[in-house]
Amino acid sequence: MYGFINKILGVILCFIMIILMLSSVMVSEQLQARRSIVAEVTNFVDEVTDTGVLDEKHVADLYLACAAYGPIVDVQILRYAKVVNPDPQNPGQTYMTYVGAENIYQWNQGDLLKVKVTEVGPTGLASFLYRVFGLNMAPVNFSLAGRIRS
Amino acid sequence: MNRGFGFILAVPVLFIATVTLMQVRIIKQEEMRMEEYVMTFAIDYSTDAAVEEMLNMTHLGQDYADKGKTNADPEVALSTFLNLMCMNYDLPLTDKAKIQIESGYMPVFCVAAYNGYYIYTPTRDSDGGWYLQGSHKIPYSYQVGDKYYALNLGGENAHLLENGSLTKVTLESQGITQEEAFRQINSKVSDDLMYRFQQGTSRGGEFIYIPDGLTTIKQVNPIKGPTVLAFIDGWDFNTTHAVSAFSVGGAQIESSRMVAGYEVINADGSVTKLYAYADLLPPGMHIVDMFTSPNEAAREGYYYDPVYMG
Repeated sequence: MYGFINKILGVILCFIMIILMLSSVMVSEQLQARRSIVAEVTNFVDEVTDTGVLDEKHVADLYLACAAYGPIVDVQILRYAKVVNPDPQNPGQTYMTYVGAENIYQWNQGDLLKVKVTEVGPTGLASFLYRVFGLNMAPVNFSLAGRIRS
Repeated sequence: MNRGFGFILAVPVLFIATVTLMQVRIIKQEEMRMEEYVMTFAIDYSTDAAVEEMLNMTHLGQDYADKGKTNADPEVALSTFLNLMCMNYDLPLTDKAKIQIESGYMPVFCVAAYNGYYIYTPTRDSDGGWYLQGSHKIPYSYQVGDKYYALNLGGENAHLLENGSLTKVTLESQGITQEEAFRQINSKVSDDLMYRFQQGTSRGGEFIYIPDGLTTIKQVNPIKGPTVLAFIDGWDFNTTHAVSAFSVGGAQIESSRMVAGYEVINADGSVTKLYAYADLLPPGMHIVDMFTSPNEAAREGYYYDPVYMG
């Protein structure tokens, strides 16, 4: 009887070990994917802030690049237009502010570009790790903002 | 036999426990590295924006680093740096958020201008809060024997104080090479940064070092033109652990894009003065005045035109 239980236990442990090894490989791939997404976003921010040019093809390229690594992410490109106006309270002086603008295909010097990346729902690996080991992988969630140079 | 098998079973159980713990550790470490990785980009973009905005706001159509005839406003650099840090971490662009950043996470902030530098350090105000207080402009002083030089980023001349008289001299006539001048400037700023950082944080064993040439190891720019040096210490907004980062940003003024000022007649007959970049305006538009920057246009009473500026 005990021998039978031990054999069953042995099989279960072997199964867990195989799953663990597989999940280790998946974890390393997932972590690499996160860095790759950050690298894609920094490349994009560098390109747009250096040139001040953005078209639909660039945006589609960024969406595709971010989606290609595994995690399902929502990428938002935001433009904050630099506005300098005369200061009504101090004649002769000016004040500067940033105003959210809808048109992301026209950039002026001093505008701020912000790319916000948020993971949409947990990945298969994240759900697996949470259910099996109670391990919670923080979702991909970061923003990078740069100033348009030209 | 069964007991023996039970002992053998303990081996895979231990193995599984070890691998699980290692995995947890790897994931946590990687999350920390990822946060540090994002922070390095966030602070780099912020310092770049700070120095560019500072130069842009003081633009007089000359290359600042070569001529040294303009005055850089370090407050613009600090304000832009804080704006960008807020944007990078999804914080609102409010005074409260900016004060939180400057009082809690910035032990030192430095703006190196043409002939001196400004250093900002946390200072307690009368209400018990903290804010970044800027210093007066500190010259790039250099002493050789009884000669006191005030160096600048032009790399051609300096002011010499000797026997109570102040004269303008060329570096060549004093036997000082341009490299030596830059080395002294970098050394002066980095020593001061280090001193103030150690004084402000009471952490004596840590150093800030700015190499006098672009190195492949640290990849930071030395001070050879208007530069912003920012240090973020213990940043824990939107991160799982405290992140620290240091960045040096430098830039030179690029060619200007002309801004046109024009007048628009409203429905009630009143006139509104607006500005937009000249190349964005349709042909045939009656332009009243031309400016080299939006700031100049605003100073003359022209308002931002969202129709043409997008």
